[in-house]
Amino acid sequence: MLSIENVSKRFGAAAVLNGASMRVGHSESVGLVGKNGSGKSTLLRIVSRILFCDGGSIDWDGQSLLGSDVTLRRSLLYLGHEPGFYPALSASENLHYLADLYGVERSSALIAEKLEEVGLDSFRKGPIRNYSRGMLQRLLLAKALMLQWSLLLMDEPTTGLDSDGMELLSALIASWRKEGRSLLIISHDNAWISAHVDRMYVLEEGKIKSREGGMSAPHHSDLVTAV
Amino acid sequence: MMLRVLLRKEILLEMRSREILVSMITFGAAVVLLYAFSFRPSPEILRQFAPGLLWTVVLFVSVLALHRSHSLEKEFDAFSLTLSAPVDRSTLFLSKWFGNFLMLLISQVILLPLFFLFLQLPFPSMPGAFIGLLILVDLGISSAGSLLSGAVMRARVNEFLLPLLLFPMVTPLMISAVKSTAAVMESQPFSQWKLWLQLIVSFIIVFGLVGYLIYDHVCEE
Amino acid sequence: MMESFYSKAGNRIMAIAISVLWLVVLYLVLAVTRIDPDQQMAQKIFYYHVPSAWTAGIAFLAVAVSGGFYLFTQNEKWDHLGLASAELGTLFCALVLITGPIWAKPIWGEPWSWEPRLTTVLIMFLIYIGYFLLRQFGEIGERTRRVSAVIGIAAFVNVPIIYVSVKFWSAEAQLHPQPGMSQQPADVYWTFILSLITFTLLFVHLLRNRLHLLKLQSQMSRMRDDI
Repeated sequence: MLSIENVSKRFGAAAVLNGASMRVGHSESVGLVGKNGSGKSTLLRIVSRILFCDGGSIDWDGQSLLGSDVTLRRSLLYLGHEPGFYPALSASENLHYLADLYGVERSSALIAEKLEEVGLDSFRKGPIRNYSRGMLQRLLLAKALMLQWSLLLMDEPTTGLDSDGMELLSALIASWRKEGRSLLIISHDNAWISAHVDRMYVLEEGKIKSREGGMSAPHHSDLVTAV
Repeated sequence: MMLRVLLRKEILLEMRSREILVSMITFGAAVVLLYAFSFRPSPEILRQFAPGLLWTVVLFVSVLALHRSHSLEKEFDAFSLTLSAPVDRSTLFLSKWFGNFLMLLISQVILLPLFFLFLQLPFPSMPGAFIGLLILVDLGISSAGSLLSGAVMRARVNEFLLPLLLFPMVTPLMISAVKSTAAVMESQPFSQWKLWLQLIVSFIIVFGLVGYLIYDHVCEE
Repeated sequence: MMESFYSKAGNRIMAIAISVLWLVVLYLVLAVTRIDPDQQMAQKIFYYHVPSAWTAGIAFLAVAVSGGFYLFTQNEKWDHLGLASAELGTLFCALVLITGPIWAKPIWGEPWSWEPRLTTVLIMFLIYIGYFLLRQFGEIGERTRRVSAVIGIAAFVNVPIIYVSVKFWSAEAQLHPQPGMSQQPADVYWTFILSLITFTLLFVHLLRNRLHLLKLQSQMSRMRDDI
């Protein structure tokens, strides 16, 4: 279980997170919504240890994720809003490096298979600098397919995806939920996200203000737009 | 081994883009040419200045590699891939250190012959000692430089902050490098420049250790 | 809550005491201490030059130590101590760099001679210029504080290497006078000690004043958040 307690983060004079607390249980899919600039991405980046937080604690199954023990990071996987891959390298080179970082199998056959799964097999070779936004998003999905994680942190996974891509994303999320893996998803698209999560948090003014069932989607999106 | 994975990535990136080495070598060659045009006194005098000129070229050129080694991580938010992975940050520092060291060394393989050729200087009579010195000083520059370049990578004006912090910080290294190179070029006995070598080694140890211990605190997205 | 530094009686008394001490030292230096037969009045600057260097040394030590504490505790007060010490250290560095050449001009015949200690102070001064530019141009916030702490530590551990290298580099430079203080006559000795005490008190007083100001600043930015 991921438990975030009282996390705070300031950028200069602005307090982005001000005592945010939330939990993601095992085999649970949780959504996190909020206005632009409300600090959703910042929170996800802090959980992934890309950013440091100013205060608070983040635990995974009772062990702190903020310490120097890096083995715990194997359980978590971060799919950012930005690609998070090297633009000068090709898709397979990037995935090869990724597999090495996590110490998992990385045969070219396996990488080709994962790229085919996300529909990028014909773009395996060139540098990903030339990829479109949707293609990069598909590459991020391949990242999730390469590794064995227990909790996936997704930041706006729908960005730039075409209708095929949206279907692929939905199918993957559904299969991951069936396998009993945990998901934490950020999105501004309330209709889409409420179909894919068990419950939702709203991040507002640096705090996590309300927690409601994801099933009551229409009511919820009203609430969010009202804010 | 994680260090090998990270170092392999540094090299692969440079093989694909070639931007670091190309910019280092063209800039370095331009500086050497400039020196050749500006200083055309008697060979005698030039020989006295040669160690100083040599190390200023090396230091100027190194800033390009050091700066780029972290700024390329910002593109596409690529750094987040490594930072969120189960990678020890101290190992990450070592990979940046040795990666930068390699870039310096490779660029010098091309720049040094140019330097001696254009300034019409004889290659040092003790090539082994000279190359050994070069390797040590490169290790020193890249240890302090990797730490500082990681530290300033998110600052707004990191291009000029890096040399501003780096140059005074490496003064003792540069002094020792110039002095020992001069000694080597004049074929002085080792006892004459042993002290300078000791200083260079202590610089490497101090900054290698400081970087290894506190890089974690400076590298953030 | 937000009271001025001098609203506390203790601080007012301290400020007056330091001013009185300052005048006493000035009187002792100009009218009481003996005039050096070789250096004449120029020698008198020693009563200001050496204490300035001493204070700068303490200040930079304080920057490094508080930097270490900041990195491990992330407590803002250590950052404040580091910043305030860096500012004062640089100020006293500047005093050393000004008084050194003033003395050297009549005695050595040239104001600047790459004397090892003075050169070391100059290099530290340059590193700290970079430090302040970093604080100026870095993002204001936690990250800049960490980086400043790192620079403070790196600069301090570098001091011995800088000193030794400069010493042997300019072996031909004029030698810095090395008076053994315990062998000095009483008037010189006690005036010097009094000046050292005055400088140290001045440093502590200015430091506390600056810390107070920094605390007010951070309280203010926190209040701005709450509004």
